[in-house]
Amino acid sequence: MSTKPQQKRNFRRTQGAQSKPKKDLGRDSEQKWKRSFSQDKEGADAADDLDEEDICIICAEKITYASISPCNHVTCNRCTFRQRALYNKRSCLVCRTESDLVIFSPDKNATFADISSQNLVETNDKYGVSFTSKDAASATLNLLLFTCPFGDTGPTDYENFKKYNAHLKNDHNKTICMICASHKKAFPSELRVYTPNQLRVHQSKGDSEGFKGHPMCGFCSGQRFYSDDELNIHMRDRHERCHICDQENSTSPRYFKDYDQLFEHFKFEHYICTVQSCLDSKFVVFRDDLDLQAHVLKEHGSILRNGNSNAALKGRKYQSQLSTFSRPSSRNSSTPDFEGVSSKKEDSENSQEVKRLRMEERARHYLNYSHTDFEQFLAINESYKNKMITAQDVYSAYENLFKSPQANTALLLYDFSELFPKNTKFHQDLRVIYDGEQKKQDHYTNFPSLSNSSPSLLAGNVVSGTWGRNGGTNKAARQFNFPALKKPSSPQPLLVPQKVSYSKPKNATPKATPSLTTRKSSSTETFYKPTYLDNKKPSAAPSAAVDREKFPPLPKSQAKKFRAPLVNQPDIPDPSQWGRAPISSQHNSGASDRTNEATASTNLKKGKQKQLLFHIGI
Amino acid sequence: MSLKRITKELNDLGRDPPTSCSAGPVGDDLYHWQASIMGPPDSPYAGGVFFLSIHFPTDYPFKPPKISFTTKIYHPNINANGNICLDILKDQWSPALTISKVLLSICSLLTDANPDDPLVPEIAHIYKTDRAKYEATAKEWTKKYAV
Repeated sequence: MSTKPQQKRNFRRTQGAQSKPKKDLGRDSEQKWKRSFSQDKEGADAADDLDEEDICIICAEKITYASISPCNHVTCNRCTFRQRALYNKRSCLVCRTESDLVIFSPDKNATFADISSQNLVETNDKYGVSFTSKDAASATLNLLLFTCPFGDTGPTDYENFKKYNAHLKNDHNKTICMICASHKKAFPSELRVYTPNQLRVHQSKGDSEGFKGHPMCGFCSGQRFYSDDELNIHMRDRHERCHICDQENSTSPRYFKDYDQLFEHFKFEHYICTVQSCLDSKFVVFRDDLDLQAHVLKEHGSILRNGNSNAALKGRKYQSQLSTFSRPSSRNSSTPDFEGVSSKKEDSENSQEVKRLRMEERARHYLNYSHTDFEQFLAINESYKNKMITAQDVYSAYENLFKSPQANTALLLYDFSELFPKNTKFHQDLRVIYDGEQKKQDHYTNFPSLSNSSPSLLAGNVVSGTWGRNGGTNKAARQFNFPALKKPSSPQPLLVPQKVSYSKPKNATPKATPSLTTRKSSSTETFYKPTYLDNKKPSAAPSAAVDREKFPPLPKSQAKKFRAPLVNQPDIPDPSQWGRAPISSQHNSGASDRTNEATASTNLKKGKQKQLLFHIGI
Repeated sequence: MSLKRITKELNDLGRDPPTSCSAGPVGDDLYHWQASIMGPPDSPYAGGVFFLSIHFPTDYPFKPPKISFTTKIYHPNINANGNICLDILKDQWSPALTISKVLLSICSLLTDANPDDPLVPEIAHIYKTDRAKYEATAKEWTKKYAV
């Protein structure tokens, strides 16, 4: 019957301590941040008028019962007991030394040696804590009790969160947050008690400063986690993350419910290797088809050994993979119009606000956080803005103001000039002086370019910048300059010709001896090239070009196709046509230069060539 | 429990600012701070002002704060997202550490990188094999992003 007033009082007791001072302090401290350089008295006032000695260095609360460790570090009983009972760690909160026993005592100035020799009234082996007084013992151990916050005269301890919550639900229509209960490492009395509505707000949006609610997994319906850390662990363990998207932008990972969904994503947005062994081993997927080509060449090279375009491809593969700037390049390759994006990004990164902050931060630092000097600095800037003094005056005023040996007034001048738009006189005047100073200073000779160009121009010279640009154009150039390489790049010429060749030799067979032509077409196309390619090109090329534009991810199907030659290829050339092989390899070596025969003695080859010529003649 | 501790740290920072770094809340949220570090004079980051963002977990100080660079920096232990590989921010965290001490540790990490436990292996490799190139690139990045 008298629960209502009691509830209210109790709420105030549990919440008031936290919520009330936070607003006042919040405002105070924000102002303090803005003037953190000044040694204002306010800071001392806000800090609870207590001696440093009385305050626990961990939680900043007043110490009533001190915990004293063998390493003689003192904290409040609550913090150490939290560490030992809830976090199950026996390390000292201050120095991380493990200790089997700590002593809780009202006397915070005692040393461990002093009090451990005294009579210890109570020892708890489970947590490795001893007490010098009954009060200290009960105040500490009672923290673990699940007592009803509404003062019900039921059992004094509900033993665990489940029973405690059940009591709250049944008798008071209230609840605690069970996610907090299992993760927060809070003593039962520290957990807030909610109505069902309050609980919903608590879990979805958060109800205290610094707490934005318990994040939810988008795949597992409604499952919430204590914090982003726990959610990330869950996502890592239960769901799949696209590592290709990660490479492009790892700040916002893309998750998929399971591998099947991830695979769908791979198929549509990235380049998968469709060789069966790679499909089976999963996650064999690439950012662009150049990487896929490189992979195919490296892992499934045997398929392409007789291909004619490998050499050219290989060269580029190394170029793309040995870069130290993999991040920028990846971003570039995904967005060809990266330059526009990057400049925008930089603008926001180095916005006026940041520039101003940077200048002020630098000035404060040079002035040793002296308030009056900083005001003077601001005054100088203000008068320049109002055209009361010239840029030269600003510089000499700076020189007078910043006497510290580490102060680099020219840099300040530069920062200051950055605050004005580039085309104004304010900016240019300051820059002239900065440039002059820059030349004088020896230790900044490393950055001569800066004196001639503005940072935006400079950006182009920075390694990542140029690399990014190359990457961007590379991709575009690749598409225009080497389109033929992708498709014909070995797989198709090997396979498609074979298919086509079945239809064409039928026409051709009457012209030549059947036995010879079929062998040639199946094993070495080079000999056959002149007539064969002439026939093919006009018909195949246009369609291929259209395909390339409309269906860029087509290479996948190639990969699948050239699985077949792997099996057939090694068998065919060797046994029957040893005499013809060298010829093809020599023709090939002009392009690929990779066969062993190329390094063999030239005499032998000449002989073979002659032999062959005879054969052909016959 | 974390709020009082964070407030105390803020007051201490105001009263006794550490050399070459500063920190404070971004807005009204005391759990989200911004910090700045001056590039140490004896490092390729000299002359740069680097900004960091600090997020306090609600379990602070029992759990470490999340600190990351918002200014791009070329360093073997700091990656493109600004994440810092520093043991005291992970398993070696101690509740007695403060933001001020952590920022000083980051300062010294800038002076003395730890290429044997790198976050960016490429930079660590260059750091170990071609120190001049590393310093030149770090200076260039500092000039581009932090001045």
